[in-house]
Amino acid sequence: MIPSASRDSSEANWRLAEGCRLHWKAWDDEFVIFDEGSGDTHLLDPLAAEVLKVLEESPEEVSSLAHRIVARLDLAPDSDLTERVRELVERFVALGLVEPARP
Amino acid sequence: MKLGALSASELTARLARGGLDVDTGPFVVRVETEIPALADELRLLYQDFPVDEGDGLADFHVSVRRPAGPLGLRRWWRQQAMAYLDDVRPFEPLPIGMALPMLEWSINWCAATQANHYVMIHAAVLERDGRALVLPGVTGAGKSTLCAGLALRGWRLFSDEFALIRPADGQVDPWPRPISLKNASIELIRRWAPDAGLSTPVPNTNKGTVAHLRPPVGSVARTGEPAMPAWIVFPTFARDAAPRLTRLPRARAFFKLADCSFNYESLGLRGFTTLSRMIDGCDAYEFTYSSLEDALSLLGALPLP
Repeated sequence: MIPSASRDSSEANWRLAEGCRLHWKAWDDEFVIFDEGSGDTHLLDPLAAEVLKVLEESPEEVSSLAHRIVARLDLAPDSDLTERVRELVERFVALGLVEPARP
Repeated sequence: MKLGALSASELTARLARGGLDVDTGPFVVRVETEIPALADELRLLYQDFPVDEGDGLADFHVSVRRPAGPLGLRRWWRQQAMAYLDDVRPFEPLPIGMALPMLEWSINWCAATQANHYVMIHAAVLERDGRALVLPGVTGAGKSTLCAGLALRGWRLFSDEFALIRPADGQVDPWPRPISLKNASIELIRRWAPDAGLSTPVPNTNKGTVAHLRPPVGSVARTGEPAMPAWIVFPTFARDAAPRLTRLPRARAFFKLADCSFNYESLGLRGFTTLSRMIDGCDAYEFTYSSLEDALSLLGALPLP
Protein backbone atom coordinates (compact mmCIF):
# COMPACT_ATOMS: atom_id res chain seq x y z
CA MET A 1 0.00 0.00 0.00
CA ILE A 2 1.35 3.43 -0.88
CA PRO A 3 1.63 5.68 2.19
CA SER A 4 -0.55 8.76 1.96
CA ALA A 5 0.54 12.23 2.99
CA SER A 6 -3.05 13.15 3.79
CA ARG A 7 -3.34 10.43 6.40
CA ASP A 8 -1.78 11.41 9.73
CA SER A 9 0.15 14.06 7.88
CA SER A 10 0.50 16.27 10.92
CA GLU A 11 2.53 13.56 12.63
CA ALA A 12 4.33 11.99 9.69
CA ASN A 13 7.83 12.93 8.71
CA TRP A 14 8.63 12.72 5.01
CA ARG A 15 11.99 12.30 3.40
CA LEU A 16 13.57 11.61 0.02
CA ALA A 17 13.01 7.92 -0.75
CA GLU A 18 15.91 5.61 -0.14
CA GLY A 19 17.70 4.84 -3.39
CA CYS A 20 16.78 8.18 -5.00
CA ARG A 21 19.80 9.98 -6.39
CA LEU A 22 18.61 13.23 -7.90
CA HIS A 23 20.38 15.26 -10.58
CA TRP A 24 18.98 18.73 -11.08
CA LYS A 25 18.75 21.05 -14.03
CA ALA A 26 17.05 24.44 -13.87
CA TRP A 27 15.93 26.38 -16.94
CA ASP A 28 14.10 29.65 -16.43
CA ASP A 29 11.43 28.86 -13.82
CA GLU A 30 11.21 25.14 -14.55
CA PHE A 31 13.24 22.25 -13.19
CA VAL A 32 14.09 18.89 -14.69
CA ILE A 33 15.26 16.18 -12.33
CA PHE A 34 16.77 12.85 -13.20
CA ASP A 35 16.58 10.14 -10.54
CA GLU A 36 19.58 7.92 -11.10
CA GLY A 37 18.05 5.34 -8.79
CA SER A 38 14.93 4.72 -10.89
CA GLY A 39 16.05 6.16 -14.24
CA ASP A 40 12.97 8.41 -14.25
CA THR A 41 12.97 12.05 -15.36
CA HIS A 42 10.49 14.60 -13.99
CA LEU A 43 9.48 18.18 -14.80
CA LEU A 44 8.83 20.41 -11.76
CA ASP A 45 7.54 23.92 -11.21
CA PRO A 46 9.34 26.14 -8.66
CA LEU A 47 7.14 25.13 -5.70
CA ALA A 48 7.45 21.41 -6.38
CA ALA A 49 11.19 21.79 -6.86
CA GLU A 50 11.54 23.59 -3.54
CA VAL A 51 9.55 20.93 -1.69
CA LEU A 52 11.81 18.22 -3.05
CA LYS A 53 14.98 20.22 -2.35
CA VAL A 54 13.98 20.65 1.29
CA LEU A 55 13.21 16.95 1.67
CA GLU A 56 16.52 16.14 0.00
CA GLU A 57 18.21 18.09 2.82
CA SER A 58 16.30 16.65 5.76
CA PRO A 59 13.02 14.89 6.69
CA GLU A 60 10.11 17.18 7.48
CA GLU A 61 6.45 17.12 8.46
CA VAL A 62 4.11 18.79 5.98
CA SER A 63 3.49 21.79 8.26
CA SER A 64 7.18 22.48 8.93
CA LEU A 65 7.92 21.83 5.28
CA ALA A 66 5.40 24.52 4.36
CA HIS A 67 7.02 26.93 6.83
CA ARG A 68 10.44 26.36 5.33
CA ILE A 69 9.05 26.85 1.82
CA VAL A 70 7.45 30.14 2.86
CA ALA A 71 10.82 31.34 4.14
CA ARG A 72 12.85 30.09 1.20
CA LEU A 73 10.55 31.44 -1.50
CA ASP A 74 9.67 34.58 0.47
CA LEU A 75 5.92 33.84 0.32
CA ALA A 76 3.07 34.94 2.54
CA PRO A 77 2.05 32.03 4.81
CA ASP A 78 -1.45 30.69 4.19
CA SER A 79 -3.37 27.47 4.65
CA ASP A 80 -3.70 26.99 0.90
CA LEU A 81 0.04 26.70 0.63
CA THR A 82 0.15 23.98 3.29
CA GLU A 83 -2.52 22.10 1.36
CA ARG A 84 -0.59 22.44 -1.89
CA VAL A 85 2.57 21.19 -0.17
CA ARG A 86 0.61 18.22 1.17
CA GLU A 87 -0.65 17.42 -2.35
CA LEU A 88 2.86 17.67 -3.73
CA VAL A 89 4.18 15.30 -1.07
CA GLU A 90 1.41 12.87 -2.03
CA ARG A 91 2.40 13.09 -5.68
CA PHE A 92 6.06 12.55 -4.84
CA VAL A 93 5.13 9.51 -2.74
CA ALA A 94 3.16 8.09 -5.68
CA LEU A 95 6.15 8.70 -7.94
CA GLY A 96 8.47 6.90 -5.54
CA LEU A 97 10.50 10.03 -4.81
CA VAL A 98 9.39 10.52 -1.20
CA GLU A 99 8.64 8.10 1.63
CA PRO A 100 7.80 8.25 5.33
CA ALA A 101 10.87 8.78 7.47
CA ARG A 102 11.48 5.95 9.89
CA PRO A 103 11.18 7.01 13.53
CA MET B 1 37.64 3.88 -54.03
CA LYS B 2 34.11 5.18 -54.33
CA LEU B 3 31.24 2.80 -54.88
CA GLY B 4 30.36 4.61 -58.10
CA ALA B 5 33.76 3.72 -59.55
CA LEU B 6 32.93 0.03 -59.55
CA SER B 7 31.56 -1.28 -62.82
CA ALA B 8 27.98 -2.54 -62.73
CA SER B 9 29.11 -6.14 -63.07
CA GLU B 10 31.81 -5.79 -60.40
CA LEU B 11 29.34 -4.17 -57.99
CA THR B 12 26.76 -6.89 -58.58
CA ALA B 13 29.37 -9.61 -58.12
CA ARG B 14 30.80 -8.18 -54.89
CA LEU B 15 27.35 -7.61 -53.41
CA ALA B 16 26.44 -11.21 -54.19
CA ARG B 17 29.69 -12.82 -53.02
CA GLY B 18 30.43 -11.98 -49.41
CA GLY B 19 29.07 -8.46 -49.52
CA LEU B 20 30.41 -4.96 -50.02
CA ASP B 21 31.65 -2.84 -47.10
CA VAL B 22 30.31 0.69 -47.55
CA ASP B 23 31.94 3.37 -45.37
CA THR B 24 28.97 5.57 -44.44
CA GLY B 25 30.94 7.69 -41.97
CA PRO B 26 30.27 6.62 -38.40
CA PHE B 27 29.50 3.05 -39.47
CA VAL B 28 30.85 0.62 -42.04
CA VAL B 29 27.88 -1.31 -43.39
CA ARG B 30 28.39 -4.67 -45.09
CA VAL B 31 25.65 -5.01 -47.70
CA GLU B 32 25.01 -8.35 -49.30
CA THR B 33 22.42 -9.05 -51.96
CA GLU B 34 21.95 -11.06 -55.12
CA ILE B 35 18.98 -8.94 -56.25
CA PRO B 36 20.15 -7.05 -59.39
CA ALA B 37 17.62 -4.22 -59.12
CA LEU B 38 18.83 -3.47 -55.60
CA ALA B 39 22.42 -3.27 -56.85
CA ASP B 40 21.30 -0.67 -59.41
CA GLU B 41 19.58 1.44 -56.74
CA LEU B 42 22.63 1.21 -54.46
CA ARG B 43 24.79 2.41 -57.32
CA LEU B 44 22.55 5.46 -57.75
CA LEU B 45 22.22 6.35 -54.07
CA TYR B 46 25.60 5.39 -52.64
CA GLN B 47 27.84 6.25 -55.60
CA ASP B 48 29.82 8.88 -53.65
CA PHE B 49 30.51 6.74 -50.59
CA PRO B 50 33.91 5.04 -50.17
CA VAL B 51 34.04 1.30 -50.38
CA ASP B 52 35.99 0.04 -47.40
CA GLU B 53 38.83 -2.23 -48.45
CA GLY B 54 40.24 -2.47 -44.93
CA ASP B 55 40.52 -5.37 -42.54
CA GLY B 56 37.14 -6.90 -43.20
CA LEU B 57 35.46 -5.50 -40.10
CA ALA B 58 32.04 -3.93 -40.50
CA ASP B 59 29.76 -2.42 -37.86
CA PHE B 60 26.55 -3.75 -39.38
CA HIS B 61 25.93 -6.72 -41.66
CA VAL B 62 22.74 -6.46 -43.72
CA SER B 63 21.81 -9.10 -46.22
CA VAL B 64 18.73 -8.71 -48.42
CA ARG B 65 17.95 -11.89 -50.28
CA ARG B 66 15.19 -14.04 -51.59
CA PRO B 67 13.76 -16.41 -49.03
CA ALA B 68 15.46 -19.80 -48.89
CA GLY B 69 13.96 -23.18 -48.05
CA PRO B 70 10.25 -23.89 -48.28
CA LEU B 71 9.40 -20.21 -48.50
CA GLY B 72 11.53 -20.09 -51.65
CA LEU B 73 8.79 -21.92 -53.48
CA ARG B 74 6.89 -18.68 -53.51
CA ARG B 75 9.54 -16.94 -55.56
CA TRP B 76 8.12 -18.31 -58.80
CA TRP B 77 4.81 -16.57 -58.50
CA ARG B 78 5.35 -13.71 -56.05
CA GLN B 79 8.98 -12.85 -55.53
CA GLN B 80 9.93 -11.75 -52.08
CA ALA B 81 12.92 -10.33 -50.27
CA MET B 82 14.01 -10.73 -46.67
CA ALA B 83 16.54 -8.81 -44.63
CA TYR B 84 19.00 -10.67 -42.44
CA LEU B 85 21.02 -8.72 -39.88
CA ASP B 86 23.93 -10.88 -38.78
CA ASP B 87 21.74 -13.80 -39.84
CA VAL B 88 18.91 -12.66 -37.59
CA ARG B 89 15.68 -11.92 -39.47
CA PRO B 90 13.80 -9.23 -37.55
CA PHE B 91 11.28 -8.35 -40.25
CA GLU B 92 8.69 -10.25 -42.22
CA PRO B 93 9.43 -10.89 -45.90
CA LEU B 94 8.27 -8.17 -48.30
CA PRO B 95 7.67 -8.12 -52.05
CA ILE B 96 10.98 -7.99 -53.88
CA GLY B 97 10.20 -4.50 -55.20
CA MET B 98 10.55 -3.24 -51.61
CA ALA B 99 14.14 -4.48 -51.32
CA LEU B 100 15.61 -0.95 -51.17
CA PRO B 101 13.31 0.43 -48.43
CA MET B 102 13.86 -2.83 -46.57
CA LEU B 103 17.63 -2.38 -46.76
CA GLU B 104 17.44 1.24 -45.57
CA TRP B 105 15.05 0.41 -42.71
CA SER B 106 17.33 -2.47 -41.73
CA ILE B 107 20.39 -0.21 -41.52
CA ASN B 108 18.35 2.23 -39.40
CA TRP B 109 17.26 -0.62 -37.16
CA CYS B 110 20.89 -1.72 -36.69
CA ALA B 111 21.89 1.76 -35.55
CA ALA B 112 18.84 2.33 -33.34
CA THR B 113 19.42 -0.94 -31.50
CA GLN B 114 23.23 -1.07 -31.37
CA ALA B 115 24.87 2.36 -31.50
CA ASN B 116 24.58 3.13 -27.80
CA HIS B 117 27.89 4.96 -27.70
CA TYR B 118 25.75 7.82 -29.04
CA VAL B 119 22.68 9.47 -27.59
CA MET B 120 20.40 8.97 -30.59
CA ILE B 121 17.48 11.23 -31.44
CA HIS B 122 14.95 10.48 -34.17
CA ALA B 123 15.69 13.67 -36.06
CA ALA B 124 16.88 15.16 -39.30
CA VAL B 125 20.12 17.11 -38.92
CA LEU B 126 21.71 19.72 -41.18
CA GLU B 127 24.65 22.09 -40.79
CA ARG B 128 25.29 25.71 -41.75
CA ASP B 129 28.37 27.76 -40.89
CA GLY B 130 29.68 25.05 -38.60
CA ARG B 131 26.55 24.71 -36.41
CA ALA B 132 23.93 21.97 -36.55
CA LEU B 133 20.16 22.33 -36.91
CA VAL B 134 18.32 19.40 -35.32
CA LEU B 135 14.77 18.68 -36.54
CA PRO B 136 13.30 16.00 -34.26
CA GLY B 137 9.97 14.48 -35.04
CA VAL B 138 7.87 11.43 -35.49
CA THR B 139 7.20 10.03 -38.94
CA GLY B 140 4.76 12.32 -40.72
CA ALA B 141 5.90 15.54 -39.07
CA GLY B 142 7.54 16.62 -42.31
CA LYS B 143 11.15 16.46 -41.18
CA SER B 144 12.44 14.42 -44.14
CA THR B 145 10.84 16.76 -46.68
CA LEU B 146 12.25 19.76 -44.87
CA CYS B 147 15.61 18.01 -44.62
CA ALA B 148 15.69 17.28 -48.35
CA GLY B 149 14.61 20.82 -49.20
CA LEU B 150 17.38 22.36 -47.10
CA ALA B 151 20.05 19.84 -48.17
CA LEU B 152 19.34 20.71 -51.82
CA ARG B 153 19.76 24.46 -51.09
CA GLY B 154 23.14 24.71 -49.43
CA TRP B 155 22.71 23.21 -45.98
CA ARG B 156 25.06 20.26 -45.32
CA LEU B 157 23.15 17.03 -44.83
CA PHE B 158 23.94 15.12 -41.63
CA SER B 159 20.97 12.73 -41.61
CA ASP B 160 17.25 12.60 -42.20
CA GLU B 161 16.66 10.07 -39.40
CA PHE B 162 19.38 10.17 -36.74
CA ALA B 163 20.96 12.84 -34.59
CA LEU B 164 24.05 10.99 -33.37
CA ILE B 165 25.15 12.96 -30.31
CA ARG B 166 28.55 12.23 -28.81
CA PRO B 167 28.32 12.13 -25.00
CA ALA B 168 31.98 13.10 -24.65
CA ASP B 169 31.75 16.54 -26.25
CA GLY B 170 28.12 17.06 -27.31
CA GLN B 171 28.93 17.27 -31.01
CA VAL B 172 26.74 15.60 -33.63
CA ASP B 173 28.32 13.17 -36.07
CA PRO B 174 27.15 13.25 -39.70
CA TRP B 175 25.57 10.14 -41.21
CA PRO B 176 24.46 11.46 -44.62
CA ARG B 177 22.66 8.44 -46.02
CA PRO B 178 19.86 8.67 -48.61
CA ILE B 179 16.83 10.69 -47.52
CA SER B 180 13.59 8.73 -47.34
CA LEU B 181 10.74 10.61 -49.02
CA LYS B 182 7.13 9.57 -48.80
CA ASN B 183 4.03 10.09 -50.93
CA ALA B 184 3.47 13.73 -52.01
CA SER B 185 6.97 14.70 -50.85
CA ILE B 186 8.50 12.74 -53.71
CA GLU B 187 6.95 14.93 -56.39
CA LEU B 188 7.52 18.05 -54.28
CA ILE B 189 11.25 17.38 -54.11
CA ARG B 190 11.37 16.42 -57.78
CA ARG B 191 9.99 19.87 -58.58
CA TRP B 192 12.26 21.54 -55.98
CA ALA B 193 15.36 19.99 -57.59
CA PRO B 194 14.66 18.37 -60.97
CA ASP B 195 18.24 17.04 -61.24
CA ALA B 196 18.23 15.36 -57.82
CA GLY B 197 18.96 11.63 -57.86
CA LEU B 198 15.84 9.78 -56.78
CA SER B 199 15.37 6.03 -56.58
CA THR B 200 12.38 4.40 -58.26
CA PRO B 201 9.28 5.09 -56.11
CA VAL B 202 8.06 1.98 -54.31
CA PRO B 203 4.27 1.96 -53.76
CA ASN B 204 2.25 0.16 -51.10
CA THR B 205 4.83 0.05 -48.31
CA ASN B 206 3.53 0.46 -44.78
CA LYS B 207 4.55 4.14 -45.14
CA GLY B 208 2.82 4.54 -48.50
CA THR B 209 4.93 5.25 -51.58
CA VAL B 210 8.60 5.63 -50.73
CA ALA B 211 11.57 6.93 -52.73
CA HIS B 212 15.10 7.73 -51.60
CA LEU B 213 17.07 10.85 -52.47
CA ARG B 214 20.80 10.59 -53.16
CA PRO B 215 22.74 12.58 -50.55
CA PRO B 216 24.64 15.59 -51.93
CA VAL B 217 28.22 14.72 -52.81
CA GLY B 218 29.58 17.59 -50.70
CA SER B 219 27.87 16.16 -47.60
CA VAL B 220 29.18 12.66 -48.25
CA ALA B 221 32.72 14.00 -48.61
CA ARG B 222 32.59 15.53 -45.11
CA THR B 223 31.39 12.64 -42.97
CA GLY B 224 34.39 13.16 -40.68
CA GLU B 225 33.36 16.71 -39.70
CA PRO B 226 30.99 16.85 -36.71
CA ALA B 227 29.24 20.02 -35.53
CA MET B 228 27.89 21.48 -32.31
CA PRO B 229 24.10 21.75 -32.34
CA ALA B 230 22.76 25.30 -32.18
CA TRP B 231 19.07 25.00 -33.01
CA ILE B 232 16.46 22.40 -32.11
CA VAL B 233 13.35 22.89 -34.23
CA PHE B 234 10.28 20.64 -33.92
CA PRO B 235 8.61 20.83 -37.34
CA THR B 236 4.98 20.26 -38.21
CA PHE B 237 3.80 20.31 -41.80
CA ALA B 238 0.32 21.82 -42.10
CA ARG B 239 -1.14 22.31 -45.56
CA ASP B 240 -1.75 26.00 -46.42
CA ALA B 241 -0.66 27.13 -42.96
CA ALA B 242 1.20 30.39 -42.58
CA PRO B 243 4.75 29.74 -41.33
CA ARG B 244 5.02 30.07 -37.56
CA LEU B 245 8.22 29.80 -35.54
CA THR B 246 7.73 29.87 -31.76
CA ARG B 247 10.37 29.74 -29.03
CA LEU B 248 10.07 26.70 -26.80
CA PRO B 249 11.08 26.90 -23.12
CA ARG B 250 14.18 24.81 -22.48
CA ALA B 251 12.64 22.41 -19.96
CA ARG B 252 9.79 21.61 -22.37
CA ALA B 253 12.29 21.20 -25.19
CA PHE B 254 14.24 18.77 -23.04
CA PHE B 255 11.22 16.50 -22.63
CA LYS B 256 10.23 16.69 -26.29
CA LEU B 257 13.80 15.83 -27.25
CA ALA B 258 13.98 12.92 -24.81
CA ASP B 259 10.66 11.64 -26.19
CA CYS B 260 12.23 11.49 -29.65
CA SER B 261 15.30 9.60 -28.43
CA PHE B 262 15.88 5.98 -29.34
CA ASN B 263 17.97 5.31 -26.24
CA TYR B 264 17.62 8.11 -23.64
CA GLU B 265 16.07 5.82 -21.07
CA SER B 266 18.59 3.03 -21.48
CA LEU B 267 21.58 5.39 -21.15
CA GLY B 268 20.61 6.62 -17.67
CA LEU B 269 22.65 9.54 -16.32
CA ARG B 270 24.74 9.73 -19.52
CA GLY B 271 21.57 10.43 -21.52
CA PHE B 272 20.38 13.08 -19.05
CA THR B 273 23.75 14.82 -18.94
CA THR B 274 24.19 14.79 -22.71
CA LEU B 275 20.70 16.12 -23.50
CA SER B 276 20.93 18.73 -20.71
CA ARG B 277 24.14 20.10 -22.17
CA MET B 278 22.61 20.09 -25.63
CA ILE B 279 19.61 22.10 -24.40
CA ASP B 280 21.99 24.51 -22.61
CA GLY B 281 23.76 25.28 -25.87
CA CYS B 282 20.76 25.50 -28.20
CA ASP B 283 17.69 27.61 -28.86
CA ALA B 284 14.57 25.49 -29.30
CA TYR B 285 11.53 26.26 -31.42
CA GLU B 286 8.28 24.79 -32.67
CA PHE B 287 7.83 25.37 -36.37
CA THR B 288 4.69 25.03 -38.47
CA TYR B 289 5.19 25.30 -42.21
CA SER B 290 3.52 24.58 -45.50
CA SER B 291 6.14 25.64 -48.04
CA LEU B 292 9.81 24.85 -48.43
CA GLU B 293 10.52 28.42 -49.54
CA ASP B 294 9.22 29.78 -46.22
CA ALA B 295 11.17 27.17 -44.29
CA LEU B 296 14.38 27.92 -46.14
CA SER B 297 14.06 31.60 -45.47
CA LEU B 298 13.02 31.37 -41.78
CA LEU B 299 15.43 28.63 -40.74
CA GLY B 300 18.25 30.28 -42.67
CA ALA B 301 17.76 33.44 -40.62
CA LEU B 302 17.85 31.80 -37.18
CA PRO B 303 20.30 33.69 -34.97
CA LEU B 304 23.01 31.85 -33.08
CA PRO B 305 22.09 31.12 -29.45
